[in-house]
Amino acid sequence: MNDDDTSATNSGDIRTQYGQSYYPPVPTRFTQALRTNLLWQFLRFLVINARMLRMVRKH
Amino acid sequence: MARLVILGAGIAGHTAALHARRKLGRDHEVVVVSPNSKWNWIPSNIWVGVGVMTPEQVTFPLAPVYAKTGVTFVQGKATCIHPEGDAEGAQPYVDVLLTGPDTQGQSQKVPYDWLINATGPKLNFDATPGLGPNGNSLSVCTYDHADHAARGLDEAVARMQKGEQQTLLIGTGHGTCTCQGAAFEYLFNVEFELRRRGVRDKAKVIWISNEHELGDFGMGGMFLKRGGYITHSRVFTESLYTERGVEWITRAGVKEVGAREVSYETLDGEERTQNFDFAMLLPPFRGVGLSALDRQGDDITTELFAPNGFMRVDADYSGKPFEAWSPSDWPSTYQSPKYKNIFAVGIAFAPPHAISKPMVSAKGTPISPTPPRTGMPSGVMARQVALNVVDMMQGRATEPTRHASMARMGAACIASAGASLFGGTAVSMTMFPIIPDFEKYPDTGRDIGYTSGEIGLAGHWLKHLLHYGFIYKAKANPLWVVVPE
Ligand SMILES: Cc1cc2nc3c(=O)[nH]c(=O)nc-3n(C[C@H](O)[C@H](O)[C@H](O)COP(=O)(O)OP(=O)(O)OC[C@H]3O[C@@H](n4cnc5c(N)ncnc54)[C@H](O)[C@@H]3O)c2cc1C
Repeated sequence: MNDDDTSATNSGDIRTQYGQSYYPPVPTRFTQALRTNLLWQFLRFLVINARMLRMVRKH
Repeated sequence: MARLVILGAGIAGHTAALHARRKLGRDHEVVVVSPNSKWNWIPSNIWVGVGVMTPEQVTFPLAPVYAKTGVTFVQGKATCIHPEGDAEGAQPYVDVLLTGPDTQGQSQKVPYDWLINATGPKLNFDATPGLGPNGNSLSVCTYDHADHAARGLDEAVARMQKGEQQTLLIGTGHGTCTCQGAAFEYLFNVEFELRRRGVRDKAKVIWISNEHELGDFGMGGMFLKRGGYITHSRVFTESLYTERGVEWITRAGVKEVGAREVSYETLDGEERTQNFDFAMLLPPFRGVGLSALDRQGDDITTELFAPNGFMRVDADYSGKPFEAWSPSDWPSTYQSPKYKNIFAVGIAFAPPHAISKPMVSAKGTPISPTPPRTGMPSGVMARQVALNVVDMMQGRATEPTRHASMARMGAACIASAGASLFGGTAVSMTMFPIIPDFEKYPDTGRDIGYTSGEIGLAGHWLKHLLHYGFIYKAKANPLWVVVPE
């Protein structure tokens, strides 16, 4: 896209119709909240660590 | 007594040195040649570039670590390899231009029996006029560059605080760049900082890159299981950009960086421009420019190195078309086919071809990512090569027995999206294998069970832990060997 294309941030509206940011999925408030929820993220921390160790062990 | 010389003390060279030293008895010598007196945990340069870490926090002096472990350190820059020695004798050696404070400008012959080239990339800012810290854009590739970028960001923020609108352009500065992941991290950290400093509404943040689609990262992207679908990383990445109000320009080969404007060509062959007030654009990489001479003094550089300056190893360099690519094209022992006592690891080896599909613009300009070689595979291949060399030095093997092909290796990568202990996030990714294998996984190229990606605070905690964990390991502190590469 170029300067003259529909710009999401120019308009202050990230869902400008037919702009590049019109189509991608955006997270719900709940999904966003989970990303920094301490309890949930602690569990994810354990899961991600296990996943990465499994990867390390695979080679 | 045999002598192993390692060129480069980055992630690959330093890993190889520590493992070789650990395994070799004192009757063999390990020598590291590197121009910089400090070791740098490069992934954290991103945080230096937004001012949340200092260069001192991401570096440490190498000499005390090598003194402690018994590695000989030559502070200098290798310039030429003599794999057959010279007219005076058959002992192979490397010409080194010394760079230490007391030796600056002197040269030294460093003889070797075994050689590991881990010299990483030359940051090729010259490929694009105006690109780089000596031109009109910033970089985060070294800690000095990143420190400079942080000051540029502070200045842009100060202008925003005065009410000025600013355009921040972040991405790749040439049609053949790699390392999009690093630029992605910087983009998201800058965006996070702008919000933290209360000026996000004054900034237009734009991504520019040579990727065909967002989420390619030079790896052809990857497929992930999400919400009952198998989804390409493009969807995930576009979502992250949209959520943050970041615009994107893809399929772009930057051709020139002016004082406040970049000119770029698109895959369609169109010439376009984008203005900016702050630009961090990565350079393309090439080999560091080592040359090679045979015993008679004839130039054999092209026999040891590919045209891009990276070292030829046990890969298939026949230049097959994209449709004929195979995982077996990728090297597994990193041994030079010409000289069996020379190896190249990390960014220094020449990849047989790209991972993302090569694309050329309507005008014939290549605009697609070259293959990244991230920290984890660089470390793993360095360890395996070092252990193979140790076996051969100690007479336990006559050829390399361990293999570390990127086509049979997975990678874990954490891309920071904002540094804060309670409000930060990072994208945690795993993939297996690194090189897609469409023979084994016809639909996705990779094992979906091992390929994952998610964003959250947990990723930031992990990235923070890795920062301390890898610096601890690189300092060869007690039990360093249990920290995986
Ligand atoms: C900003 C940034 C962020 C990144 N973030 C991540 C990340 O989050 N995760 C990840 O996995 N990867 C990341 N990477 C990639 C990672 O840094 C590289 O994969 C890794 O550094 C490659 O290791 P290397 O040893 O091959 O090269 P380098 O680490 O570049 O080391 C090369 C070494 O060779 C030395 N050298 C150069 N020329 C000579 C010469 N002529 N003679 C002797 N020595 C020489 C250099 O001084 C250096 O010590 C990032 C890269 C950048 C630029």
